[in-house]
Amino acid sequence: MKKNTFLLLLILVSVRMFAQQPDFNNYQPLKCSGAIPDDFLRLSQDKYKSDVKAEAQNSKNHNVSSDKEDFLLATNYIIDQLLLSGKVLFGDTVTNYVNLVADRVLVEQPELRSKLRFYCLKSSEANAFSTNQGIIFITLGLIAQLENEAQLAFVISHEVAHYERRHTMEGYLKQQEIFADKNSYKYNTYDDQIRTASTYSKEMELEADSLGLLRLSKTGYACDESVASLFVLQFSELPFNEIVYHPYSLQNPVMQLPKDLFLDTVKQINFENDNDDDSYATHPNIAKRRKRLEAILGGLAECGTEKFVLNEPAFYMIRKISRFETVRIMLNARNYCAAYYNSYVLLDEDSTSDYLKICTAKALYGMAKYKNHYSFGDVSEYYNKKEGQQQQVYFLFSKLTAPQLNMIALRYLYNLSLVNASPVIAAMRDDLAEEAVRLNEITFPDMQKTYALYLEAKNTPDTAAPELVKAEPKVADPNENGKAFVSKYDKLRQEKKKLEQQQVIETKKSDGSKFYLLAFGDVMDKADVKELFAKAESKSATRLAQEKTEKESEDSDKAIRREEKEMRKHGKSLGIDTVIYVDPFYYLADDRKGLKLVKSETEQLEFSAQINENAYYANLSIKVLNPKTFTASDVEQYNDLAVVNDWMGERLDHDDELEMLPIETDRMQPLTEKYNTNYFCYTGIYSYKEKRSNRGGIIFFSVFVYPLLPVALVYAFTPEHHTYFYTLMYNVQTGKPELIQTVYLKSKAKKGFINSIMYDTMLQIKREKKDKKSAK
Amino acid sequence: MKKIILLQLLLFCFAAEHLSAQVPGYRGKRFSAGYNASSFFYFPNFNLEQGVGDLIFSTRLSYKTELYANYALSRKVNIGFSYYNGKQKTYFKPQYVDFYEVIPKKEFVLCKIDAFELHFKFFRNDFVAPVGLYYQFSFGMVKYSAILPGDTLALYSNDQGNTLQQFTVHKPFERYTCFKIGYHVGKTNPIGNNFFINTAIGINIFTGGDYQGVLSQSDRSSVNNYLLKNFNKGLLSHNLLEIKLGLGWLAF
Repeated sequence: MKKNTFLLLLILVSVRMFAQQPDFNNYQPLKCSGAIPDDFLRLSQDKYKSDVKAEAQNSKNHNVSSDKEDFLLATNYIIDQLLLSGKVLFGDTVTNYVNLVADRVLVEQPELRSKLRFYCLKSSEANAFSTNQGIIFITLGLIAQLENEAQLAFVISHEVAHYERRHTMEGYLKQQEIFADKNSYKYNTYDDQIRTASTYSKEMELEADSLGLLRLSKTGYACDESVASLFVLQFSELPFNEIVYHPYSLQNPVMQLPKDLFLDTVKQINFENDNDDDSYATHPNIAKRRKRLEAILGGLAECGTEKFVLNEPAFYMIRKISRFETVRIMLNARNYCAAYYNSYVLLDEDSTSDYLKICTAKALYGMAKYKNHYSFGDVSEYYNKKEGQQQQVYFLFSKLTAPQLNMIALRYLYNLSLVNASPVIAAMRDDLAEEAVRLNEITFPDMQKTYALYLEAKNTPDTAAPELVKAEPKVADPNENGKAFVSKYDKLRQEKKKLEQQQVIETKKSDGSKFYLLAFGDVMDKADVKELFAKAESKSATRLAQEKTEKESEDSDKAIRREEKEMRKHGKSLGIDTVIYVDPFYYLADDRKGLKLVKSETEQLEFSAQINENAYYANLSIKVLNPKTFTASDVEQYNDLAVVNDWMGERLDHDDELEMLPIETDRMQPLTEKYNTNYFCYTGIYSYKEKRSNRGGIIFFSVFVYPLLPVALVYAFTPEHHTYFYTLMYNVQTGKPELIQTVYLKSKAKKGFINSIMYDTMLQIKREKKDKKSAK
Repeated sequence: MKKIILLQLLLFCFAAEHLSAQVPGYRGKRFSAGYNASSFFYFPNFNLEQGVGDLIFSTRLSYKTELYANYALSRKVNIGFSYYNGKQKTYFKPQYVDFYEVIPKKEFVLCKIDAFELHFKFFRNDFVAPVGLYYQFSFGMVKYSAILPGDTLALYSNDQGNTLQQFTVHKPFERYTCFKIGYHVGKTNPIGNNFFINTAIGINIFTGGDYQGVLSQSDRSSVNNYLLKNFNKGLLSHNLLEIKLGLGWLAF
């Protein structure tokens, strides 16, 4: 009775919670809500200490081995890094739904349920994992791929089994035992050690599958969905759906993509890859897992049949949200081809979604930028490795040349900017227009000429090459009856003109590789297109002139010396009033013991206070977004941190020379207004000590200057310290770095030194630019 | 003396030119003052024929103090003035002077050093003045003299009849004024917001006194040169090398 009441309550709650659909046309990325959970707020060292205490209480002799302590220390810090990165969701629609399913799965084990916390992770990978501390993470990439609620319930049951059996800790301890050459593993080769460790890990996975299925069988969910979820897992790397790709959105009535940019047939999906060699893998292959589950299924006395227990529409809604999120995450991770094709798949269902169109535009922008700067390989995989319909997309974008992709992306952005007033879309459009002119040497007159030829060819019955050649203007021959006199220069001019026309005609005659010049063919006469290219040409000319001046001054040693002297004397003068310092980091390490996690965390808190102090002295207005100091009510700041980390993370992935506007810039716009600044900054310290390398030499030489011997001995036997102080400040509007500073100190990270350098950095940020000319 | 004043005026003008520069200092503090104690090992009677044991046991520590004030001219340069003061025992070696062997009444004569110097500290690339690792170049004027009752030094001399006779020499102050140049490597390490610890190691070179006499030991000297030579040797042996340790105040 109690169980049924609880179930009813769950269903009511879920119906209420998911009654309202989000606006998928103007979809807004997920945000956390409610109070920040305790997992995010407690210091890692406190969690570690309480875990060690609990472990000691649970052990027979009240002792905790050093391996266990190491494990608890490392896992608490790693998990906290993840929790505070902004990549973890709580209180949002998807996480709430996952928690409801977890409540359903664990309805008969309230004590166990109370120990577990479920969070969604913003990752496009299909994965889930549990921790020793009772936190279970499920990625949005996995939810985006699942077919029904029962599959999600099986994933949860599987992860709960890992927690119950303490697989993470047991796995770690076993690995330590194997790799430390202890006990029976003493004479194993390294290969054997890896194989043994992975065998143990696979056993734990099979155990979690078995226990997960047993638990699922008691929940009313369809048990055979456990096997189906393995099928989902096997093909989770494929897009959300298999749809034949047609580049309708990249073409226009004038510009059609040539056939040679498309494959005749795409590679078939390999259904036989579920039994691959898993000797060195941590997970057993799908075939083994399926076999095990099928064996258990055969022996189950009772089993549910429900694919949906809570709410079917709610599941599809959270899956759709996860899919929309996954596209954004893919863009953020520079996985542009995948983001483009998945947007294409989703647009098939939501053809009016502005969000998906923006995602498509961003994917095209990203690919075009990387192609223009010869680094497309950094953001795309080889098309031959891909299976199914997505291969067509990978093939297309790998075959398109830089000018082709630039113009295709530019046209898409232009179209979008007509219906979407986003300043980021306009900025991306202008950026690509400028690169089209400057890097790909595309000019508006060239486009006009090509369009004129296109029209000419279209109006001629046979558009083959001879007709185009026939259209050439006739050149007067001076020898022809002596009717016309043409000077040498006139002849040269005519010859030049003839060659230019020939080039355009040859283009049409050969392979049509310059089809991209027709990208704006149907809108050539529009004033905004003319303005777009006029602006791009002007920007390009300014940029080229600037580059020329820079190059000239670079060539002059005197100028370099003068600049260096000026920098040494005064540093930069950026004239910025407000800066947001994001998640300051502080790491202390020892070459023998590795990272000193507890001390690093303590110092990080002090470092955060130090930033505030120095800003006060430098009269710089700052806000430090330090997740270690958040309280339960700071959920808004946590959401801001997540956005900033996404933006900064993406910006750091792009090469500076790319000068690419990060994809997430539109999400940063509200933050620039909220904090009244465009400047966001990462700062931190990494300090480590190591044994002095030339001890023997120091002692040997000091013997000859014996009064120095005591000093030399102390010097030789004290460790050498190295400290790096980093500051990276970006302008969100331009995506450009305003300040990149790395200071190396051959000393400890002494507070005084750091204050001195940090204050100096802040002063450079704050100090008004000195205009020498106006001063004069 | 006039040259020194001229030099200091020039340096002041150079400093004044830079006063308007935008300099950070330590959290906005550009002026600092402090106290250093300087010391190093020295050999009062260094003799190459001495055994290592004798050399070690005859090793002593020199000592002097320094008061200084610094101003951060730019992100990398500090200008400053120092005053050194110390009492040092100088070894007066028996020697033939004016065909007589002169034996000092006391082998170790207490001497006093007073020095004024102008220095520039150049901070290493990674640091910002006035904090961190620096290289210091200094130029100064030194007054070195014995501390004696009545400003006189008592000496014994063998006369022709081999009887010891005492005679006195009046201290010629101006003659023991000399110049020094110095080079130091040091570190300024702040404590809190207002104080700092300064450590440095360096070398000082002195001119003046009977400089030539010091260079050529075998020359017979006049009584006056004998004094100058010994003062100069004392000055060098006490102050050639020094390790400094001190406290400072980051004023404003």
